[in-house]
Amino acid sequence: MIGATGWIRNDDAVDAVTIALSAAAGESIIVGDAPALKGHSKVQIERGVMGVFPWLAEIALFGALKAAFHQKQGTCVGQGTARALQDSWWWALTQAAEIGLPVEIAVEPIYAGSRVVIGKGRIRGDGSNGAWATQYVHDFGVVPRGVHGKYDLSKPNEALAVAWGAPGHGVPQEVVAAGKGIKVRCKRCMTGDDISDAAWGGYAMAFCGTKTYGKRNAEGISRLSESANHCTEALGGAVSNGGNILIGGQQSWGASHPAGPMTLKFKGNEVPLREGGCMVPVEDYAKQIKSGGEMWAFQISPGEGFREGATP
Amino acid sequence: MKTLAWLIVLGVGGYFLAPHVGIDLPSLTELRERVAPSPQEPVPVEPAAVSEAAVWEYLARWVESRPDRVADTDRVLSIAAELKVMGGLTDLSRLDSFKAKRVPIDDSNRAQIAAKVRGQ
Repeated sequence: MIGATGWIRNDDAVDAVTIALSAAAGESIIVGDAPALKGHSKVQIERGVMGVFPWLAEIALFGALKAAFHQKQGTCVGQGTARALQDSWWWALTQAAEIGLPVEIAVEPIYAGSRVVIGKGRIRGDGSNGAWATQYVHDFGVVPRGVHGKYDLSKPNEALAVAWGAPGHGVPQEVVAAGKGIKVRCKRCMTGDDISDAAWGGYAMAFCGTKTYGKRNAEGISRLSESANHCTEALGGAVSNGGNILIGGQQSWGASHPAGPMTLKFKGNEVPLREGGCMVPVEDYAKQIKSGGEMWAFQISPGEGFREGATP
Repeated sequence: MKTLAWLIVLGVGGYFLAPHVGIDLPSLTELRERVAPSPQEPVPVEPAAVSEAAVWEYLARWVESRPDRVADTDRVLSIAAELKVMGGLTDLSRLDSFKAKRVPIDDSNRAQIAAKVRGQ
């Protein structure tokens, strides 16, 4: 049984955002076009780095793994993008790549902003696409959970995300202002190699496609086997005991999706998975991208992250 | 459990009987509107830091380098139209200087994109 979904395929938007962000960056945002990232996972694996597990940053920062997000409406694009940004930020904090506050990232402005600010309110029902969410976080940053003006975003409020995302509504100015100081580096993955390189490079991703995670097997490995037009976070990578590349996935349907063992067994070791987490062969993601899916990779730009005094 | 069931029956029944005994209750639609937030002021999209020339240049590069994504003129036009809606392109006259060898833009399909953009 699947949960709420909400990915609406829009190939033109995906390519348009790739072009717009590449023009803004002055270079292609495709991972495979970035000399610093291309081939990164292969080099790391050759050096013996058999896995990268950004979700473990939660144990380092908070003492335990956090619960899965639990969407009840078609806000998956906001959920997957926000959790990717949150995980890549927390991972950067624990890798001493960044100094800052371990804030949670609000889903609501990303979902609503993608639909109304970038998509111009063209979608009437629930849902969005990864490209619009990517353009939104690139242009308007991300907002830490907390109170911003008269808006309390301390806790997830999906009804608010949906209300702000309705045509004719929008993200309130105070909330937009809270995200303006945070710059996000956005990349696009178009192949399995791109995904692996981004994962080993510490990026967390938003994956949108027509399949989502099935049950985990005894090694904590899942397949993209459930039909759903859906967006989830993808993060981390590992080499399986059989020598295949695995990429992490994170569902936003509460504790029990996907079901199965909660430990990932990979080359010579094992790590805990979190609620809603799993690992998937990279070919599953690559196949989805080839048939119209999206994969966007995110990092909070170095030196831009949430600092005491510098955050709104 | 029985008390709760009675309360629900009385509540729902009372709501629908109220207008007949002279009590003016808001309709369900009105109630829904009251709890929904009012439309926010539109968020001003800041002027893009990137020039339109750069967007056109990357569009041309995209067309040349991704035959798997951009196989025909119609696709170029669709992507350009999407860029227009997103605010990445505003000046359609730049179509005159658009160069893509593999998928040419000519006088006939410039009109096509203009129509497409107007139709969005």
